[in-house]
Amino acid sequence: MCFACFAGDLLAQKQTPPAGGQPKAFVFPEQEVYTLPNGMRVTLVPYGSVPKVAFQAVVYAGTKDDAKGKKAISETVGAMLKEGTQTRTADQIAREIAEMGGGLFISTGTDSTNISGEVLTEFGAQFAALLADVLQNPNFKAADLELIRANKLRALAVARTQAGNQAWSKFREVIFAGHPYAQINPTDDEVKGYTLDDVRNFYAQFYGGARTHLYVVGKFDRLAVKNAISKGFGGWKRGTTATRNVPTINAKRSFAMIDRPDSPQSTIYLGMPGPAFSDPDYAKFVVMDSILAGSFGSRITANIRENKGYTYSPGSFLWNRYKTGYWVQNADVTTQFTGASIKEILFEINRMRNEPVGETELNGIKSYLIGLYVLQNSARTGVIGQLESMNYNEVGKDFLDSYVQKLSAVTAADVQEMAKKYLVEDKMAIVVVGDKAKIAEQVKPYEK
Amino acid sequence: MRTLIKRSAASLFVMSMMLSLGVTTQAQKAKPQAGISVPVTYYKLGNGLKVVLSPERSAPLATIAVYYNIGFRIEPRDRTGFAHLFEHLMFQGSKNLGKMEYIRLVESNGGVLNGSTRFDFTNYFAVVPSHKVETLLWAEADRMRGLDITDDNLKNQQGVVGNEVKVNVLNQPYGGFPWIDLPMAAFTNWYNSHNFYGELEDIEAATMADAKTFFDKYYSPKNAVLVVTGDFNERDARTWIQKYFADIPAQTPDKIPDISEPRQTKEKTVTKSDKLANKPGVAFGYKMPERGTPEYYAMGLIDQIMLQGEDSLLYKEFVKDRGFAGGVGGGINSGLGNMFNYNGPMLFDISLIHDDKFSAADITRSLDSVVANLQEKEVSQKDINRAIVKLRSGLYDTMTQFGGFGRADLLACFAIFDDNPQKINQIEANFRRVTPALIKKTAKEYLRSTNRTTVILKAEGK
Repeated sequence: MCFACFAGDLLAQKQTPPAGGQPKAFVFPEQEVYTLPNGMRVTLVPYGSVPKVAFQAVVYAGTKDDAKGKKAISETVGAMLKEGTQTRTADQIAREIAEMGGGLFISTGTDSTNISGEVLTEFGAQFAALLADVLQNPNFKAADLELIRANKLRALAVARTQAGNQAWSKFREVIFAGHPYAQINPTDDEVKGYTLDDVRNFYAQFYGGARTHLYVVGKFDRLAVKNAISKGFGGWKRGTTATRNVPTINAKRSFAMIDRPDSPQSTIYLGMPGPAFSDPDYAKFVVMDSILAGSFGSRITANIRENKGYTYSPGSFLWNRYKTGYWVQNADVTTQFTGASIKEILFEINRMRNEPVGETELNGIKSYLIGLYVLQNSARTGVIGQLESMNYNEVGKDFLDSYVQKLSAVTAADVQEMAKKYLVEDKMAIVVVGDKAKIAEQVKPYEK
Repeated sequence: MRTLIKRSAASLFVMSMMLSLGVTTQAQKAKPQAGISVPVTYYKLGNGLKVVLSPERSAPLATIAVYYNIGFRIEPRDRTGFAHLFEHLMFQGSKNLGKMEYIRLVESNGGVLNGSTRFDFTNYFAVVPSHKVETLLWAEADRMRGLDITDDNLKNQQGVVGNEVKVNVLNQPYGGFPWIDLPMAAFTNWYNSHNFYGELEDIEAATMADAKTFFDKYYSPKNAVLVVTGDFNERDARTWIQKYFADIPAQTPDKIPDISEPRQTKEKTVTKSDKLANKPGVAFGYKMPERGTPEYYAMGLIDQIMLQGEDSLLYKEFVKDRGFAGGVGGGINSGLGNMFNYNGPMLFDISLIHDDKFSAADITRSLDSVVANLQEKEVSQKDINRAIVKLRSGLYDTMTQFGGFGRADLLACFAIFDDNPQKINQIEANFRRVTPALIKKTAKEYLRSTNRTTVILKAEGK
């Protein structure tokens, strides 16, 4: 049925879209990189015309460094940095940063704690000074620990009722068994057991110049900010050096199900080990993944969403850490089509392995990925993210400048090779969270 | 859905071109003003399509956005969720772009795309490399001209939308809390108080005939604005817009029904049970003053002072001093946009998830003490200045983030709601006019408890 079709046009040839013009060259912004005498690295990137500047201090201390029985103490330490310094209360910190047009955000992951904020340009040096104070002079108080503890317990309770969290937590336990990456969340008992000494000890052991890299991106007075950084961070102790802890991935075929009675959907996580960011296969794998699963127009999305309507939210990602990679496809699907969804996902994976992709599809995806790269690098935080990945993974400066070329060079044979090499069913892990009574039979064929 | 922000140089040559191509309105040239300012060129095609052009050359990207002046507020009564379902249908095929072809066209040209349905508009946009603007204009015109979809497409998207409602609401603790629950409780006019995400039965009941009627009523150039912003050549854009959009037939859109709300005279409280949640929650909604009035701008500052950021009064009261919660959320149109991109009755809302040991009454008493302060004492100019700094910083982000989409959003809304996209350059000045006395007066009227609706979320999960 065609609304508002013009009479006589129904049998006309379809118009092809106008091709557009020639692309402008994209150049990654210039960086000034230097190291303070205490080992702290600094990367400055004057960028953009908007009068704002983004700071991100990456301290290489995260949940992988938590002592046994103290999971996520690192996150609590990060949270407590905001609660006051020797000369500023939490309220004063919040107010001061608000007056600069920004806020302070602290988040802790497996390998690092990020302390970041974006302020108006004219306050760049002032924010650098405040950041230095927050990082170096925390005032750890028992009352603050109690509030943070209560907040964490509440957040853990809420997470336990979310299907996505249930599925991903289980998935991590399976694929990283025996390694700190396996446990995303602390238990309630672990959180209840945190002491102020735990906080102080973690801070003393893990915070210092040698573990820290400060990024500054945007519009800022370079001299004033550099001086503020030297003045603020120059006297910080060197501290301990960051360590690596590369997991041995559990690459055995596995299946796990978590019962979520009466759930209208099943939450599926399915995947296999993939290449690390620093692996020569990385760009080729990214192209393959985008065709298969990682774009709106991808094969899995076209199949289970746009053809069959089984799901709204299919997607994939390559989970990367240092020398580590794991590819994951996930989708929340209608309960009665759980088995059918897994079947279609595996069908598309096998199609990628067995048939080379066509040139049009391949060129389209490469164009998409290059466009995405430009878009991500048009934002201050996107630029920081790229630089941080480059540094964390030790890939060298030319990685960013050559990424577009690497993408462009990928061939149909490369794509098929990536699927054959990595998307191996014998190494596949599957986790399903759903109504066991309704889906147990549906998923039986996929349990082994 | 639910993705639920230099000077224009219109030369003599361009002006004469416009007259010969049948454009009815003269382009309005932007004058630079103090504060945040972007160039704005505004004109209308013969068929009524509003066009806004706003160059910005910091990155080789452009945003092409079409906003239709129809959201879920006034969707048909027996078809809750229909406006949103229809948004999905707009991606299913038009005369020259079959199923999935629009999506692949954008992505294979190095762009990203999306659409969303809100209270008062439905938008379709793409952010593309700057040399692909013509391609996108052609594609948006193709689907504005008409859809070409089948029963299977409809069935398919009913499945997709049903799953969207499940993954975001039905299978989530706090699924519709408070962004659906609060307006449903607070408003009395059905248009403002129905379940706009859609009851599953209503989504399932939709027909192709419904879709055709909806398209004819609302998806006309006369009911839309086209925005192009970013790195593009204005003269080329005008040529392409004329070429692809000018001959789309105009249809007069349906009149907007009465969406007004009576003045609230009694405090309302509603309790909602959540079988998946295991911690209680509470949400408060205050009815906003009319958009664009001095009181409306005062509420924008009250939102910053009271609720936004860790320097806010409620963060201090609820999180730091009383320990009710780890954070407090809300704002104006907080669930579905910002204070600029709606056009009808709206709430200023505050919500939190808390521990069992605190009751909604405890939290309400605490809220009352903060509100009383604003009603009885004038805030200082310093407080106002800090609120404006926060707003200004946020506006910079809105105007520049995501390849210019935030800027396109503001331009589009000021065009379709106010016929004046230049208002984007007056935002800061309007906030600067707000005095401590006006904030006090506004707090007295709009933060009175008889203007408040409370939704208490009872956690029944494990």
